[in-house]
Amino acid sequence: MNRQCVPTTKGFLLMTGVFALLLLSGVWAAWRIESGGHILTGMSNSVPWGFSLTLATFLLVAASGALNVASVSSVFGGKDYKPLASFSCLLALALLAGGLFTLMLDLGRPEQVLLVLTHFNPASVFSVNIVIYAVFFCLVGLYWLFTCFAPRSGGIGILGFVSFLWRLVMTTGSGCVFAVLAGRSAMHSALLPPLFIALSLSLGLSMFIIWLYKAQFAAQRPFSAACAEALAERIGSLLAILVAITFYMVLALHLIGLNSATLRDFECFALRTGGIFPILLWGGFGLLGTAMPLALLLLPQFRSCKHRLLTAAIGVALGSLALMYVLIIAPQVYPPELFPGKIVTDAFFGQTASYSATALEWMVGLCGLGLAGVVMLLGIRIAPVLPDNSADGI
Amino acid sequence: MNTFFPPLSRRNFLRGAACCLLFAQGLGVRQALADNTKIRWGLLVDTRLCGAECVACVDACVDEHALQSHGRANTDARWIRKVRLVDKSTGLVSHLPVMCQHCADAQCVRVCPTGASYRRADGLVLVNRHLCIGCRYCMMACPYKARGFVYEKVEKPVPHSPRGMGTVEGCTLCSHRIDAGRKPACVEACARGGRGAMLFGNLNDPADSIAKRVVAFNTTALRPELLTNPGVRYQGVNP
Repeated sequence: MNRQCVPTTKGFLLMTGVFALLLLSGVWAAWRIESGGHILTGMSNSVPWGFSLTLATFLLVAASGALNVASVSSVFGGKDYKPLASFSCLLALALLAGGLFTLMLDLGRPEQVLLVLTHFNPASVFSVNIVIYAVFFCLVGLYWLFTCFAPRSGGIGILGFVSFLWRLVMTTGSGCVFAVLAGRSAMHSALLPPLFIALSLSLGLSMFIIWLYKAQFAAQRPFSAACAEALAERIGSLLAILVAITFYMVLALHLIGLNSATLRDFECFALRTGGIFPILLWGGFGLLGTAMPLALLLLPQFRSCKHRLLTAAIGVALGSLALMYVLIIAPQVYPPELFPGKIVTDAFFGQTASYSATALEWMVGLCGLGLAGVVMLLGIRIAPVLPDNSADGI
Repeated sequence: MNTFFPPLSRRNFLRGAACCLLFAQGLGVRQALADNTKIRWGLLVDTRLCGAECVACVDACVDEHALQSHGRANTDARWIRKVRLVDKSTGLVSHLPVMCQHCADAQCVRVCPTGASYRRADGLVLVNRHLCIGCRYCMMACPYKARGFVYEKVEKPVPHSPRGMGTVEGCTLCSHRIDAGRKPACVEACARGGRGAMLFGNLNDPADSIAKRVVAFNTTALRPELLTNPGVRYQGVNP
């Protein structure tokens, strides 16, 4: 196996600059929000979790899924994937760091974040997740070091297996943050954690593909057409299966909701009358995130399409973000059923709340992507992560 | 030597103690011990007496806690909100105030990552601003939308009601007044300026009038299906 550090090329510097800019602008936006108050965001007492948290969750779910390729190589014996395992681990670490950073900046008092460790509440899913994320960091960090510097070591299989189990735990924990909210019936579903696992698999793999292309650009070793097709053949069918599984889970969630007396009205809102939400669900997740990638990956007439895998992966990532937005924001915007059988005329309890993210929220959200990018680029610069595509034949 | 109880080393003793502590914490023993009291403060709202136009309780709360308005309804601090309900089948109109329900099984306390949301031994659910990191998970968990976030700088806060930008807050049932042997501001205002729709007292004292009325009449809790066991009860409406 021939892997090497990426030299400081023009592409590398350009990408580092872009990601550093995203990171710095996000930190500036967070400082503005902390000094001026969350009034500078689009959030309200009806919608306390906005776009920044949606993007943070998106990155956390993607982090778990980015480990797919490493898991396939060391847990399921996919030797073809071995050259990419190291990059898979590095990406998982980078995305997790980005997600947690955004989550921290979104707090009302980010400077107090260490209180989560000193005043631990074991009943809180949030607290438990902090431990889960920390263990994931240690496990995958160690796993990454092994894949980089001792790829033939015997311990790598065990580490891979434990990391694989732990990523399932981590995604379950992320899903449980929402699923345990009994007061919000639209979120309170036992289907949410498995849906998050399915989403992490498809989203994570798509992020892996996108970021692999980015890394190749940074290294100024863009894939040749033959390489891209080989990659599409190898990973494309796996991505198609995972996209189909995610779609099935989302379909089940909505079908159950439509057949539930207490959720039917919310489902109508999310699927038909809710303004931006049906557009995101049908157009974003359904069309862009499911139908388009499946067509590109499975239909023979698209086989000649250049970079079809990258296009499909971008579609899956955008569709997943749209789905995440609907899953997190729509149940907050929709009025809670506080008084069944009654019409509530008060605007706060009885009417649909409005929410639109401000530029500062976008910046805080994208800050996580910036950090993930900087970590990833730093990783491929200092450690032999990226395979030499001519030698490994990716 | 007793083989059933071998001599305990310091290390094993500490291990055992740590395990017991974790176990007790997990089982909620701490909460159970805290609940071992004869006092549970509560409110009973008689919606038949709650006037359509009356907002005496809301105004009293705003004055008592210096909750200034910025003219932004979605983000302004309101610890009590008046609600108008129309029954879908009968058309019956009723009015009632909704505030923190001071639940025995408070979802906000359960989900708070730092323990900033806590329940006092006398049943009041409060927020420790020093521990609140502003994650807003309690707002998401509250089934009554009773928690609010401080979105803007707080000007001229009153000493008995500390507030801080970036933290979460909610009705304290005027804990400072209760500690001084007085009634909450909203209850006093309702008796003075309204029609006495709010009754405050100790739900655990069978001799207290609130406990007697809760037993004698068909009082209800909001969202009873969640089994949060609220300390605020309503009479004259079946939510």
